[in-house]
Amino acid sequence: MKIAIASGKGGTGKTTLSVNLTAWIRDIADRSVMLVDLDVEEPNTGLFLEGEVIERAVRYRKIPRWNQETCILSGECAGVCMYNAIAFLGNSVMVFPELCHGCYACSDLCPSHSLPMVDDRIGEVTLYQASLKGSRKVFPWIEGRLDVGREMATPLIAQTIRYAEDRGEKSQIILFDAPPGTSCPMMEAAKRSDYLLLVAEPTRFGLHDLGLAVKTLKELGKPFAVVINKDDPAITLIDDFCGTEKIRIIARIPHLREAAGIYAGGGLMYGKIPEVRREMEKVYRHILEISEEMKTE
Amino acid sequence: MKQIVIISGKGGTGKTSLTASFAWLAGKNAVVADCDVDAADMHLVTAPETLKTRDFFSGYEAVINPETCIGCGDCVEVCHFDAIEPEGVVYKVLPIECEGCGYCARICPVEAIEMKLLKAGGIFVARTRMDNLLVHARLGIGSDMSGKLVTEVRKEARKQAEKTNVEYILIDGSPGIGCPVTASITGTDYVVLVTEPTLSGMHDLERVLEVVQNFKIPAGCVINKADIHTEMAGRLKTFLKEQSIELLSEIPYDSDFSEAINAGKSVVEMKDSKVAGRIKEAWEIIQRNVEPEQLKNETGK
Repeated sequence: MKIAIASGKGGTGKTTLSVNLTAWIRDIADRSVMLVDLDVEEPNTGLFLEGEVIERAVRYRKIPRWNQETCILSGECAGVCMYNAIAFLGNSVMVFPELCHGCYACSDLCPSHSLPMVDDRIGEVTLYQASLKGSRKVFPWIEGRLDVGREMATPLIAQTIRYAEDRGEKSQIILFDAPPGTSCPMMEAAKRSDYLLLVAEPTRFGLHDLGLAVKTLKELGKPFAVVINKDDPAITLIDDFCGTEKIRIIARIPHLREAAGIYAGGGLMYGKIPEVRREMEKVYRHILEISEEMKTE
Repeated sequence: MKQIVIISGKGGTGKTSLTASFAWLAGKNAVVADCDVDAADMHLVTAPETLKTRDFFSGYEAVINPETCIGCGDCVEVCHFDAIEPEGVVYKVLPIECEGCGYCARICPVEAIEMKLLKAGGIFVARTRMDNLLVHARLGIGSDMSGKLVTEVRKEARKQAEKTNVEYILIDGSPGIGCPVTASITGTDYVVLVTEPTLSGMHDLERVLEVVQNFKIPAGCVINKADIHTEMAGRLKTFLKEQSIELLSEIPYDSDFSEAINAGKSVVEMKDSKVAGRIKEAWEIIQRNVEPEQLKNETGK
């Protein structure tokens, strides 16, 4: 089962939940689990985990490259491109890779086949064998990392998911640390998940962005539940919203200064803070329930 | 008129809270552009009254007319986004997958596919309670046009700034290093990087700084929650020095940040705020840094 940990707002605790939950499942529940970092623009799971590189692969997408020798200057390419990624300048053709969506229309429809699709490096996918301090237990962990200077994260996210799917086992819990927001990078992660956990913080910003994420998932028809991070019992903003929308809140990670300190230094907190450990267990139980429900469906 | 963009790489470091504070301090001298179009929150603390709304169309979506479709499947063959699937004897487009490239429509032998202009969101010009204008946007669900929308928001902000002759455009950027971020940075006069002394904050700052340096735009950095990890804070400061990035201010962790959000205020408006002074200090340095050279020399005398 593939579960994405997402949120509309950035900095709510997606990575904190991802790494602590993964480690808890492997360490305490002793189950097979895989973690996949899909926040390819700013992948941070590696700051909290140690591991050995098993495989590192450069990832490419396809973009057209102009072949001046064979081009008959028909201008067809610029005419078919809906993204303004190709400019026809009368006696030459220019390709703007950052605008290209890789639809192949210009390449396939060029009368002189002068725009072959070629590899364009976008980033790397790395498979690690992650280990936990003070334990011999290991788990597979995959990180997608966009090259700095590349703007389109979505193709790399799609490829990282495919890479993980090829290596994951059916019975395994596969956790995606999803990118923030509600636009294409987040959607890509959500589309390929069976279930989502939305991490929300109890501020009006957190509530507003949770609302956007909920709308997005409803549109996609994806089932999900909410985890509150930096929970403050005095603030019921998220509770009220989830009550009205009939959304389950499955865990609450309290707002603790100690947690912030451990996070800052790149530590895992499930072993150090009993409240966090307890909440990880709740999330795990919920995942088991959901996975049973999905099996019977 | 100077364009100042506030970004962070990592989310949740306090970009919007700081931008709102700068907006309050600048008052009528600024137009604010909320370019975190994925999670636009600025309106929650500035109580804007909308003056103008316009739809934002940015892309297309293929629609197959089942009456005309002959079920040849040519469209499925050419679609690289797996956005077309069979429905009975004909085919249909999955709107969420469709990238609007129009390839299918071009090769359909019976012209059964129409490219429909898609509303990607809305752009609003509003007057805030801070005596300035806010340009913000709402992105439609699943739209992949956030970079383009950022550009549109900035264009509108520029238009408003020129019309009202203000000194600053304050741009609230989005997390990450992707297209919305580059679209918010390009052509600005100054970049304010907001970070926190955590490993994630530092890692993400390094990546986004590389993007900023590619644009060769001067930048300064605010360290927020500066006291949550002394060692990390020290490492951050060393890093900034190495990169010749000016430290604009160190703001200690303060619950005023979240309390202000929940009170619908900017942090600098909080009563007896311990951090307001630090934010003001940062804003003053930023103002000085974007002053034209000539003026700077005069004030220096």
